[in-house]
Amino acid sequence: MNNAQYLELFIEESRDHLQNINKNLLLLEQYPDEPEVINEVFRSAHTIKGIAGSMEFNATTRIAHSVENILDNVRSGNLKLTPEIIDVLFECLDYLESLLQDIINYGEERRNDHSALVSKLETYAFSAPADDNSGLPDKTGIEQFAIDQYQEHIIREAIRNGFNVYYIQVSLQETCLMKAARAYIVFKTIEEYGEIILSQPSVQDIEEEKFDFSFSVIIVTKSEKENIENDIKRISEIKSVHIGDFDENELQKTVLEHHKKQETEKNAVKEQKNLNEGMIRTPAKSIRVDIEKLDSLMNLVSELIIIKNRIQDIRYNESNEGLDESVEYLGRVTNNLHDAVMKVRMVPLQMVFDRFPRIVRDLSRNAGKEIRLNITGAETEIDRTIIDEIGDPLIHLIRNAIDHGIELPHERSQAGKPGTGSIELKAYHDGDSVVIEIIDDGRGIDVEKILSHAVELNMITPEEADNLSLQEAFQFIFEPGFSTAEKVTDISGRGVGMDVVKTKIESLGGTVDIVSQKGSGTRFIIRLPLSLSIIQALLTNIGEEIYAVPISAIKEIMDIPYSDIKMLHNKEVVDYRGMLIPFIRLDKLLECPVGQPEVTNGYVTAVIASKGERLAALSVGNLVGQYEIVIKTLGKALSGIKIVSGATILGDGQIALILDINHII
Amino acid sequence: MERVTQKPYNESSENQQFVVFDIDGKIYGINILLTESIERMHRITRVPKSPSEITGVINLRGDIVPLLCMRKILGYKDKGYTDLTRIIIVQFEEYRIGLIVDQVHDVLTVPSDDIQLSMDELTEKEKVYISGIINMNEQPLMLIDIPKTLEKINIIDKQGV
Repeated sequence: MNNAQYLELFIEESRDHLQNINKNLLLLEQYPDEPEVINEVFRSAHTIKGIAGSMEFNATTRIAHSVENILDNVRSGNLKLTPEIIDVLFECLDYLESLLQDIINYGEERRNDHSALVSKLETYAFSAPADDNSGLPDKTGIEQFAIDQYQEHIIREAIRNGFNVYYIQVSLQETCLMKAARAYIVFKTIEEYGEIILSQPSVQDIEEEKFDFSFSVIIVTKSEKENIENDIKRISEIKSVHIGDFDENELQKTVLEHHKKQETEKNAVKEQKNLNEGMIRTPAKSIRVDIEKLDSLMNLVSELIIIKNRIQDIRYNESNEGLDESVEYLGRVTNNLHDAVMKVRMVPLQMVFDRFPRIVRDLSRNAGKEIRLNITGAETEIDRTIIDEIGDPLIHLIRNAIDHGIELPHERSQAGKPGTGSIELKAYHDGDSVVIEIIDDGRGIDVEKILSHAVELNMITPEEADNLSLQEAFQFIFEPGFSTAEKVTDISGRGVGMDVVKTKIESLGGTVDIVSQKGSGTRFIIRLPLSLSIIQALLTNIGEEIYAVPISAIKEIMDIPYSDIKMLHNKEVVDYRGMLIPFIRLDKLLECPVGQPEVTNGYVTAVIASKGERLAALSVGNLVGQYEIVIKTLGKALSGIKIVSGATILGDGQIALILDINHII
Repeated sequence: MERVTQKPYNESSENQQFVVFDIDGKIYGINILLTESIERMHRITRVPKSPSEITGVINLRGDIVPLLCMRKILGYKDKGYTDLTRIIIVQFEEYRIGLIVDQVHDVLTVPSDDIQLSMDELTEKEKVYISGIINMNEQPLMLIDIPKTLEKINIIDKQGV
């Protein structure tokens, strides 16, 4: 079975299950007695064991098996879940992760140093004393079956017609790796004798291995039970078989009981649900699709939009009612298609956020700090390509918050704060962007220190330092090599990193802002576009050329009287709602061969553009209009050009460059 | 266009093919393996703050392709475009660019042995961009070194401006 195709499947599934284990182990730390959480870890470990076994990844199988045993012992009450055991489980998880990494990199398990871990595991993973009906309800008779009235009818008919009705309970050996397959063989064998009326758990659950080691069926047959029993016993990996007669008198009682049970179960389920709200996520129905296939689908949609824009342009020249309607309809359909494809590409931020509780737990332990991580809005969805890129910058910011932000417990109590620090991770939609905030209640950023450091490094003069706004001063921490940390730890403080964070986020078309108050904490606000490939943009003439400005960066478009443009520190500024903002002449900045003509009526059209909190007025020529544009890259040869972020093809085939507001403001 | 050196077919010598084009009356060649297509002139969009050798970008059937002006690179005066002006689309590693040339002739097959690597007759400017010479009837055919050209005008490994 060592086949590349299965390998990929194995990696994907293992990754999901490892993440699931990680998440639930963290929950277990807080709620060590929650059976549903234990079961969840157990199931994931079990699945990993199963699939690794079939791929012959022996180390993975071994460790996963031990994890399973530990949890089984916890579940059966033979072992109390202590923090030490959870640590060991985390250790196993890390080891499984590194084994998976080996498998991803080399296609096989390279590490061979698990003997220490295994011996540690032995202490806890002792096999539970043999228990014939482990995992089964205590009842062994027909009471265990949930018989409904239809099945009751069949059973009665069968008995009246002289058939034998038996219930069969089969237990598999605990070493059995492919339980579903084994159960299938048992089912096949039983079916040779008669018809299976009912199975407990359901056939579907058995196929999906959602059972422990035993299952029961009710069978209608003409054969004697001894024959069936012997046949089943011949199948390997069967621990025990128990066949009993079905008592008709008990039937009525069981059916009634079943009804009652259903009622109480419903209530119980409700309670359980309330308890587990937000803890256990039922997997949604989904399929895995190669991201490249989605990319090509997206490209086709992009082409469609370009053609649609082109037809729209033609329509303006020759008016025709039927054509107008069709074009509008085409427009609606392409918009919907675009939305649908975009949604397919969207994944919840949960995929990234799930890694953080563990990181915070480990890092805060190492730093000797107590930190509570609070995540909200993990269900916020964002384009898949962004998800893949955003993890590292976020981890960096969280590390910074732990290392530099949050103080040691005694420092916190001196400052009159609660001993446990808090880091809040918040995600939400805001118009066409997704906002991620990282908020800590630590010591905050010392602006004075940043400014004096910037002066020391000759980045600014002392006079300039006095004139900087808070927001501008904070921006220095994004400069390469800028660190005010007094000591360098292995987590952070080397002055590399923050500039990488900023570059990364800006390369995704996003922005980072900082709000911080010395003594009470820091808040990083990251704003990212929903999607990278198709955006709404304002097309405008500049000189004789045409450029696109992303709508997401535009606050407002206004006519400014020339007389309002003032000079400040040799730079042009205008007054915008009581705030002096830079006035940038785009035709000069873009070195247009034909400049923007001086307007006669004394007004200039300006786009008020924003980069996070910073604003600027950009002078533009005639506005062409708002369009949905498809972003194309300029190719690697022009990757050094920062002032434009890409290009788009207009309806007539002409190219309009997309201005990168982040690099203009 | 005919080959001068009609060497007898030699098994040890592999043949190479070149796209032959004109710049200011001189003839140049590009290894055909690097070329993708030859296009007529397109509408060019200027890219601000780009190196002066980059004329702009074109829409090549839905893809954005930057253009290099070969006249400028080889040190000739700009003389505008004519009906004969062509764009040779070349693909080198991840770089896909178009070269604007005065005129494209045909494809020439030459045994590798005929390529001279000595460059004594070349001007200083030419030496930078030429990787070899093939002697033709009237004048030498100069082979453009694409990787070196891209490096020279700072396209390769350009980090920020």
